[in-house]
Amino acid sequence: MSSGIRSSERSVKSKSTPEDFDSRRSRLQVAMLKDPAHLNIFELSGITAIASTVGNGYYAQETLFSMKHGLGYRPKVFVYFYGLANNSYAVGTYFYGYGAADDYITYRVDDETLEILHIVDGYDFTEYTSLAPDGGKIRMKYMICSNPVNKLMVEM
Amino acid sequence: MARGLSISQQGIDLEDAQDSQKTLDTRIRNMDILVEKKVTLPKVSGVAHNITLHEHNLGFLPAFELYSIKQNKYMEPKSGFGSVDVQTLLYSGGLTSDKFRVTLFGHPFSFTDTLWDDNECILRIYNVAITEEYEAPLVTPTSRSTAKDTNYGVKILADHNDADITSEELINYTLNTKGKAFGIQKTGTVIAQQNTGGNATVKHGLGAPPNFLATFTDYSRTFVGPVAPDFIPVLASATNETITFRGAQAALVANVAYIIFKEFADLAI
Repeated sequence: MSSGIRSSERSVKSKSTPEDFDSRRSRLQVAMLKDPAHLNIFELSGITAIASTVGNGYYAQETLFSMKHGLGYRPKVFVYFYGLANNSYAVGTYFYGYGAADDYITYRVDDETLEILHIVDGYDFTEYTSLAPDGGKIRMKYMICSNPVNKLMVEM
Repeated sequence: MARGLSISQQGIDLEDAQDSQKTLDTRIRNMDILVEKKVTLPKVSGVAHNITLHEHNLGFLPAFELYSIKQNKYMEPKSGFGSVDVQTLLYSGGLTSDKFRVTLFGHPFSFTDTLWDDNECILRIYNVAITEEYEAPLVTPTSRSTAKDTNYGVKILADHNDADITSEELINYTLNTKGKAFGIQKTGTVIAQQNTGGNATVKHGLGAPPNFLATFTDYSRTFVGPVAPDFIPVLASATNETITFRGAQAALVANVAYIIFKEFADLAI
């Protein structure tokens, strides 16, 4: 037996539409009163012109931000980057360059930690220096959902 | 005249609440999860395939995602949806949904990523008609409050586990005024063409740059690609009134389906 609230512009017995609210359904949510915060916006600094070389196996990485989210499972995360130099927004991944090598900022999340990484990946054969200026900055906003990403809600 | 139910986040007066600070507003569409299931992809690289992952029969093109448990990544939307006919779409390959089912299909040479072979994934389908031209009503209060921990609020327990009403974790609730919901301001489609320099502009009217998601659709709006929050194929330049999508590569030529949230890109409230 399940109970709850349902809102519909038509009969609640009719087929569901995007207008309907049904409290039996899960939805994406972000906890607003967590410490550390699960919703935050700030300026990432310390970005450097890392390079993929034969010496590092054509892969370079630097960690720009790290936090413990405290959920104990891997959550669904949204990360938005705002390029201060060119007024552009990117979702999940912000590219400085791409092609034979990819030069980008992205996020990784596991059961405990959310990290923001700057990666230069030469795909096993390309030497490449990041186009990011040394000491570069980028503004980012993250939203850590309470929803798990790699498990079903019924498994939680 | 609009009727319904509206609940603000904990500690915020309803009259002061931005739409993005409402845990529930029945006038506004939201990222509600209709379907969540595990699917295991067979070997698909190098072979022609047409695999139905789920029959949803929604009657609209939904926002959806496919997440690989092993790879810890989403399947990205494939380009090539600017083409008119299904035959060309087959050559492009990839994951799509039409109004009735989510399908993984492609030509033997179009899907060569062996990382997805024999891969256990989670398919999520949202109650969002992503290609529908939808715009939410807009309320813009002048004051700006933030959520606070108070003794007053609303919470509805989820059916999926045995948690009780004293639980502090949002995962145990389908609605909780300690949580932010993902209210949607606008959905629809826009065409980025070469004669626009690969740009496509949408008016959102929010008064500040918004957060968004995007994917590809086809010319006739028969199919839509998945939404992958860790990588979407467009960048955006946003003003207080518009958002312009442009290609991650030099020039985007495609039909873009978008979700513009009521969430402000430059605020965390």
